Amino acid sequence: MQENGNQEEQIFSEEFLPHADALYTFAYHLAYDEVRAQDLVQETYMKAWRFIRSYQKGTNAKAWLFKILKNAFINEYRKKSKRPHSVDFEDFLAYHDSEDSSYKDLDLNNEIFQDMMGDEVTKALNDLPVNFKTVILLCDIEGFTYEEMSAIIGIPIGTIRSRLHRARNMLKEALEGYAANLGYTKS
Amino acid sequence: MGIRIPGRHNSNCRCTDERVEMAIDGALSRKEQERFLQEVKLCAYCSDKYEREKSFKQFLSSKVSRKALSPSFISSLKEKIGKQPGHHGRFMS
Repeated sequence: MQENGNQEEQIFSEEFLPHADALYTFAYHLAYDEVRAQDLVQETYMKAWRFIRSYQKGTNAKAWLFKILKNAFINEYRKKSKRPHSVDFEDFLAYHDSEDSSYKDLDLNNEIFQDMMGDEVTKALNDLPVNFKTVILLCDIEGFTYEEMSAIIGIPIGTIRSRLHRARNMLKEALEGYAANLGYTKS
Repeated sequence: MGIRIPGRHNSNCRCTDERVEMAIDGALSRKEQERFLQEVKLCAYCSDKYEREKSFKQFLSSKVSRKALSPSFISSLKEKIGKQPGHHGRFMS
C-alpha cells in the first residue's frame, strides 16, 4: 500500500510537476488572470492526483494534464456564460467562413513587427475567441502535434487544422490592426 | 522541372496551403517533409508562403509571454495533496 503511494508520488513529481509552468502559461492565456490561472493549475493537479491510477506511467503526461486543465476551464467558462458556448462559437464561425478562404500574408520583416512587444502580441492572442486561442497555444506555443491536440480538445484532426488556419489568420489581422494604429500601413 | 515566376504558382506545383501548414507544424512524415522541401524550392509562390508561415510561427513562439509558478505555489500544492484522503501524509522530497 505504502509502496503504491510512493510510486504514485514519484509519477506525480517526475512526470506531472515538470509541466507546471506550461500549464500555468496555458491557463493564464485562457483566463487572462493570474489568480484564476493559478486556481486552474491547482484544480488540475488535484484532479490528476485523484485519478493518478488511471494514468499509465511513461505515457503522455503533458497531454493528459492539458486535457484536465482545458476541461476545468470549459466547465468554469460554461457556468459563467449566460448563453450556451456552442451557439457563440457557431455564429462566429459562420461569420468568418464567409470571408476567410486563403492565407493572410503578414510581412514580418516590417520593422513594426520586429519591434512589437510581447505584451501587444499576448493581448492580440488573448482577444481571440477561446476555441481559436486554444489551438494557437497548444500548437504554436506548446508544440503539441495535431493528434495530441485532437485528444486534448476532443475534436477531429481535420477540425483542428481548419481551426488553426483560421486562428492564425485572425491573429495576423489583429497584428496588422496594431501596426495600422501605430501609423504603419500595409505595403 | 518548372520555372520560378515570382508571385505565382509554378504550373507543376503540387503544394497546397494545407500542405504548407502541415510542413511548418511537423505533421508530415520525414519522407513527405523531404519531398515537400524539394518541391517548394521550385515554386516561388509556395516557397515565399512557407517562409512567411514559418516566420510567423517562430514570431509567436518568441513573443507570447510565458509564466512561471513560484516555488511556494508548488510547496503549497504538495501540502494540499498530502492532506487528500488516501494519502499517507507528507509528500516525499
